[in-house]
Amino acid sequence: MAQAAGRSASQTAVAPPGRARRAGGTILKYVILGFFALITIYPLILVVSTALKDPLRITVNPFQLFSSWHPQNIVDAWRIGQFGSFFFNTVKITVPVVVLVVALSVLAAYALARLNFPGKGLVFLLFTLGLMIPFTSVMIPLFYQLRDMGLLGSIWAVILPAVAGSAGFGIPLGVFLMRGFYLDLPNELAEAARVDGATEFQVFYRVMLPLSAPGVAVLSVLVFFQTWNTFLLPLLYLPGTENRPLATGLYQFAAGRTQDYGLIAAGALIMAVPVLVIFLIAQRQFVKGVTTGALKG
Amino acid sequence: MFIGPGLLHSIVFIIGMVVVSALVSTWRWDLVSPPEFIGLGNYQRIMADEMFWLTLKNTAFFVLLSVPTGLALSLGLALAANTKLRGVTFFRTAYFFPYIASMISVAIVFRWLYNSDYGLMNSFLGWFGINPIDWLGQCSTAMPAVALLAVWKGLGWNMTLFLAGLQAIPSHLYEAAQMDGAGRWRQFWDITWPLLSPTTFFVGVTSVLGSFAVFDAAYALSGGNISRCLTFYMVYTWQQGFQNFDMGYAAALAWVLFAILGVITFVQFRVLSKRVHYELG
Repeated sequence: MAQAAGRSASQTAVAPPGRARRAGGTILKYVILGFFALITIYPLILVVSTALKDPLRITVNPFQLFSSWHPQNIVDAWRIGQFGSFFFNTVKITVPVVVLVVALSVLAAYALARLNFPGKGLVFLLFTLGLMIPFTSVMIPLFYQLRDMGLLGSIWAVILPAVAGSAGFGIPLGVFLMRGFYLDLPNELAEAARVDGATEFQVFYRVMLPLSAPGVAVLSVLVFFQTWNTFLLPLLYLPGTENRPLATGLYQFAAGRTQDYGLIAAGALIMAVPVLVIFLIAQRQFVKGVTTGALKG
Repeated sequence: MFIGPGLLHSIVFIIGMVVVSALVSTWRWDLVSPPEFIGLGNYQRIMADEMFWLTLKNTAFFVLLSVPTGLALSLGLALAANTKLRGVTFFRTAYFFPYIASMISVAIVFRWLYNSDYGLMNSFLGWFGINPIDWLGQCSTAMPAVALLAVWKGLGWNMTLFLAGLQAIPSHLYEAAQMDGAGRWRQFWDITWPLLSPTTFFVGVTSVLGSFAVFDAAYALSGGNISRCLTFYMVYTWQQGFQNFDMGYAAALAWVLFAILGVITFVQFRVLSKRVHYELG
């Protein structure tokens, strides 16, 4: 496509054909890239704009962007819409999941990548199984398990399955991601520490763990996104209102008050802000996580 | 000491549950009365269940609609974004946004866009003189509407994977091809496509698995009242288990899905992996 446009540009332009062709291609590329950026970001812009809009203006023209200034929506959603309480429930669920997934996967991944022990093959197979089994296959017995443990309706009813990977990124995927990191780390540093008399755990904690920081960052962020947004887990195992997180809270709110667009958008915005902030901060860590390859050589 | 806690957790919550799930699927169990062993009775019921076949067909249709579209678009976008143009990092960041957004928020916004009275989709089509369409109200458009939402949601993630794959292709191959006078099109089919095949394979397999489990998109887009044509397999399993409390039957449904996915993934590996080039050159 880029070529076709470049050719027609070079026929009409006076400049040397090569440069004109390149300029035409560049413009076309920007048009394509910009078009898709508009499509991907538009819902976010619409949510921000609607959240700040006067209810009257919304009924007049729902899609006019930033036509009024009415931040009261956000205050109302936080208080009256209970999004404040949904927000803290989500924090209470997400933070333990991230900590548990990262801590447990890092340990297991390190052992699988770096240590030799009997039954290693079996352990690897069990984690692989955990990776392949879809959530559908376990969602029903999990309900009974959680009920029998007396956890149904508590935040642990979401935390425990999420740590196991039911929301997407759990221990099995974490183990695979981190294992790749530990396999790639140079052995010399660990050997040097061992010669200096460090225990296996010290080698891991003092030497290998800091080296894998970019991987830990990427894993934490991915687990955070998945857990923050998970909908099916609280839908199934958190039926009450007491510990309701943002995902089911927003859903119920939107289903109940279909006309309060401003408040619904404000709720969606409250849910999106932490994710956006962490994503923008982690952007660099993402890049670092990829460029660690440079350390290898 | 290193492995223990993580493994124990995985065993209790995944592998143990799978065993329990297999047991439950042989019971007739409605939560109130004690479970009754009925052998393969639930599976026989599935084969005769009209809704099972309908929801399976819906899901297969959804997969066929969304996966190839998603693959083609995200590959195309990755090719476009794989340049050194100024500001390209901004675009890549923008494309990642749908991935981190919550499906519930996004579905709410898409409901506004699809609204038949004032939705932006219909205003847009109105410019071309096309009459308003009740996007979510009829089967012929509701299915593409959900597929479009799913493609939009997965675009950035898949594009990022493709981009990483593209950047792993050594540039001297393209330089050599240019010397030989190969055009862009030739370069794509002779270098990019074969060398990118491991990424394409991975994205394809994971997209198929993910699309078969479609739930949130249909649930949130329908606003609770899921029409027959949007009742996907996961939705049906959920309805049987958590609305009709027919737990044994739902567990059996989950097992049938697991078997279907296993077969599909196996076939993908057998048929396609022969065409995947893992080595360079």
